[in-house]
Amino acid sequence: MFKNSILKNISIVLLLTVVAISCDDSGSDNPELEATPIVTTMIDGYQVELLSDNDLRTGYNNLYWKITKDGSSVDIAQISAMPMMHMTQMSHSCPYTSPEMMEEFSDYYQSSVNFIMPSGEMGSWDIMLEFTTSDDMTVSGTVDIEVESSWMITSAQSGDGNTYFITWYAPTSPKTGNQDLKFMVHKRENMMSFPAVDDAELSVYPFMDMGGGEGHSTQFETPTTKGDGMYEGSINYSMSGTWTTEVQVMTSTDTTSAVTFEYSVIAQ
Amino acid sequence: MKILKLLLFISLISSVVSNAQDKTLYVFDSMKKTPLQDVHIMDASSMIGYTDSDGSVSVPSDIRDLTIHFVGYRTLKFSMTQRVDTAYLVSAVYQMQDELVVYAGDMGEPDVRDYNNNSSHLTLDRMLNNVDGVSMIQRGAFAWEPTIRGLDDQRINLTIDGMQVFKACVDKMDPVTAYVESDNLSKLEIDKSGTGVAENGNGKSSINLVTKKPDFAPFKFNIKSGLRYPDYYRVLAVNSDISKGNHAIRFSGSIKQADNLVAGNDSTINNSGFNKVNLNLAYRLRTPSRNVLDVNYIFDDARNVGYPALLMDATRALANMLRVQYSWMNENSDIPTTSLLVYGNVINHQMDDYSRDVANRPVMRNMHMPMDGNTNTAGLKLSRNLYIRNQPTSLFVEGYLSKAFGDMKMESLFDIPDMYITNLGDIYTGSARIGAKSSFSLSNSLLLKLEESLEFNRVELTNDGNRSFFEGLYGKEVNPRARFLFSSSANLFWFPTTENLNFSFKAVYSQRQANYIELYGHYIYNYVDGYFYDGNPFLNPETTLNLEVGSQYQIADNALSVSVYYKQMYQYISGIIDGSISNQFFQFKRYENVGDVYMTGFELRWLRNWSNSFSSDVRTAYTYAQNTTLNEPLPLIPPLHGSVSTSYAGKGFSLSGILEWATEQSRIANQTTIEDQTDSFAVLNFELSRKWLNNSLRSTLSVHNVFDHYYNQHTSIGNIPESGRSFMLTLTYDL
Repeated sequence: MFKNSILKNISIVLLLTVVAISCDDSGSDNPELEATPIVTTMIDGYQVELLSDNDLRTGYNNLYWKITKDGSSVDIAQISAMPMMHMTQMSHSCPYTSPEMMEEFSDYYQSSVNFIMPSGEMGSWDIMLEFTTSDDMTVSGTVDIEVESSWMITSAQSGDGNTYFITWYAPTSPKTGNQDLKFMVHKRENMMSFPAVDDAELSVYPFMDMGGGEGHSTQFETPTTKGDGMYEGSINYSMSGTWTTEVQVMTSTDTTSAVTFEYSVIAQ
Repeated sequence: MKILKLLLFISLISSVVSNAQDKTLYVFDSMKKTPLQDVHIMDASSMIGYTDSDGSVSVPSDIRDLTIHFVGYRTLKFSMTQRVDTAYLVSAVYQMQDELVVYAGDMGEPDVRDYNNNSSHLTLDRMLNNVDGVSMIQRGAFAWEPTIRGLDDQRINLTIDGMQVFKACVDKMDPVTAYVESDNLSKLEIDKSGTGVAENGNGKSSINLVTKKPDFAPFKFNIKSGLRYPDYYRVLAVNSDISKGNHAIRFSGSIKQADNLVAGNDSTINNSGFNKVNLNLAYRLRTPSRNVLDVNYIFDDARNVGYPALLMDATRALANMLRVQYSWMNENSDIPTTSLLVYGNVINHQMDDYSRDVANRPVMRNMHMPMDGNTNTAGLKLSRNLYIRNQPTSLFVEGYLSKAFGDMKMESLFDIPDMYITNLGDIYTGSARIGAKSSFSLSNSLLLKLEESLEFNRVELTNDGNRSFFEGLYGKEVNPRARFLFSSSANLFWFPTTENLNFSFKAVYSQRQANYIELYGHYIYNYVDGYFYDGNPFLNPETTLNLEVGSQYQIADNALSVSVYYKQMYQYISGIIDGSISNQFFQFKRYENVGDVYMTGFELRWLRNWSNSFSSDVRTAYTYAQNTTLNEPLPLIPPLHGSVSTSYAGKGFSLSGILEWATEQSRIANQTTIEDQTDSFAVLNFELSRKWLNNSLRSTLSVHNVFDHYYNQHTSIGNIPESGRSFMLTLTYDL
């Protein structure tokens, strides 16, 4: 009787151990990315899933692509994803990067887009996706998307008429205290080309208008270039509320007008 | 030869008869029960003798009332009722401190340590303001903030019955002194020099408000009512003691209300009225072994308190305090051998500016700013009096933990979202310390008292947003600020002839950890200089060296006291302008260790009983304080000031005239603080008291500022004036 009881207990422990190990997915070969689904569509028999960190909005967005066929991953040799805004009279793109396989999530390809305007009556966005499989089959199609408006990108004109897009990269959810302050700067060469600007200096001035124009700034470190159009500094919000940050881009040839981001800072 | 033998025999018989008529007094140490040698025994006018090695002395049989003096012990008035009697002296180590007794009742002989502030209409603020060396910072008519020798707030200790209490208002609207009413005050223990480091925990000047404890009388009842014109300040207070057997209960309650203050020249100061309720319930148990258990609860609720010097008014200031103390008493004295105090208090403070014209004020315009603050404190204190190597010694072990929170919401008059700031982001202050004091009789005329304290102090900011802000502000990780702090004092008393004259030489070394506001306060507006202050989590402790020489001379009808002091402070903490984000509307400062400062000054008091019914009291004090690093005076230092009072006491009545005066203060700070000069003033007050109905009813009519002079103290924030001519009638009835 006693022996049976011991064997029973050992069996239960072993069973629980197996269950526990089988529930641990840390060793899985194909971990799932936790992101917001944007759209799922079929292109030539391939299922294309587009995900992002949030619903797509003007400004900087990460895009995560997953392409499967009959439920299985597809080996991709080459892939591109070009955002396009289709307006009544014209079409244009915006700053973006090409998808690259993610190291941590090998089923996914990551790209980024700085949407410069929202979807709406002015026009609609889609992304021209084209990929070549490992067996040299090229597939292409468009993925229709909706882009909401946000405060996180603006454009500024220089005296020479050049247009620069200034993207508020971080903090995405400003809160009281110290945090990284990052901008991306792109220049519109033409309707399809928006190269990153790496040689600029930024002038930045955060301000809290507490009513009637009276208010004050807060401590900050002016962002400086880090390459790929990225400028990094820091900002230290002293209080929650509505803040503005004025930004001006100065290159060796251009100086833009000052543009202002207006946003809310929450208390933490 | 026969004649010689006869004379010798007669002499011997006479001697024997004479000795047989003498009485024998033994004098013992009250705690050790050991005899004391060379104790001075005096009658009313002359020396009788000294005790021998067994503590005995012969006392003529016709002398009954004795005065027993011995260096290092309390002077004892003793009546010999038996042929052989024993007197126990209590060590003076428990007495020889700068303890100023206030509201102790009628005075006997003049004593420069006593302040006879038993006038029933006096508020605690007024009582403190009457003590030389103590000045009050005023933000209105309510809850003045005491300063000692020009030092305020974080540089002095304010306690209630030894209980640590932290203010909940970042604008200092609620100094600890606001929570004890004069009706319920037994005495103020004021240590101006800061020598009491063992008990206070550091070398700061200190004020301990000692509340009245239950009286073991069968029943006592007292009711007081007063009305003042023209501000219609009215007060109703009830005090009652009841006891049965070894249980005694005391209840004290008061209601106060006042309309706006009326200054000189009939100038009404808006937003200066207040309403306040204070309740105190105390219980005392006396065990058969004479040990004592005290339980004390204080409730204080002030509402709609106007602060004309500030941007806003206190909507509600609520305090709840509970303390439990158990004292193991010495058999032969009222001094406990061991005492354990456990306490907790919760302070809540709410203020807003909804009744203010926010659109036209000089700063923070066009918005309302409701603010909340609270502190929660719990602590314990263990005291033990004992003898170590025959030296009277007191040991203290103390610890407390306090949490402070404060925030401010900003509601714009314009159509913009509300703003919000956490001024005090859940800041925890913890302290644990040990202290010891001993006294040594170096000779018959020299007594040395040494005190030490070692404290571990830790202050932690737990709000993520505020901690992140300070990390950004200073570019370093913000960790809890933990320090060991050492303080020590030496106090040498010299009695060159008799106890009527003594000199004291005091030296105090102390370290002060920056308080939680200096370390972690955020966006706190300072009404004195108009700057917004941010803390500095990396401040070094302030160290202070204080030297003081004092003398007291007291004879039957004269008492004179003088103190001269010099205080040097190193790594002095003060605000430094942060120009990076300041503009014409908002100016910011950060706390820094700015360098060295020194303070020097004196206090003088002379009491004189001109006759049995006519007396006078002259006081004056001066402080000179200089920031040597910035080469400018320290702010809010009172000028040379003082008072002269004369009193006539007749049968059942007394009449007093008091002249208060101050010279102009032209030594003002203009870097750390933007001050302005203050004119000199002199005001005259009168007070007439009369007792009725077999002394059970007392009426007091007081007239303040007889000539209706418009003036303000230098320590008045925003130059809020003192009250103009006012009349107050107070009736007190004792059952």
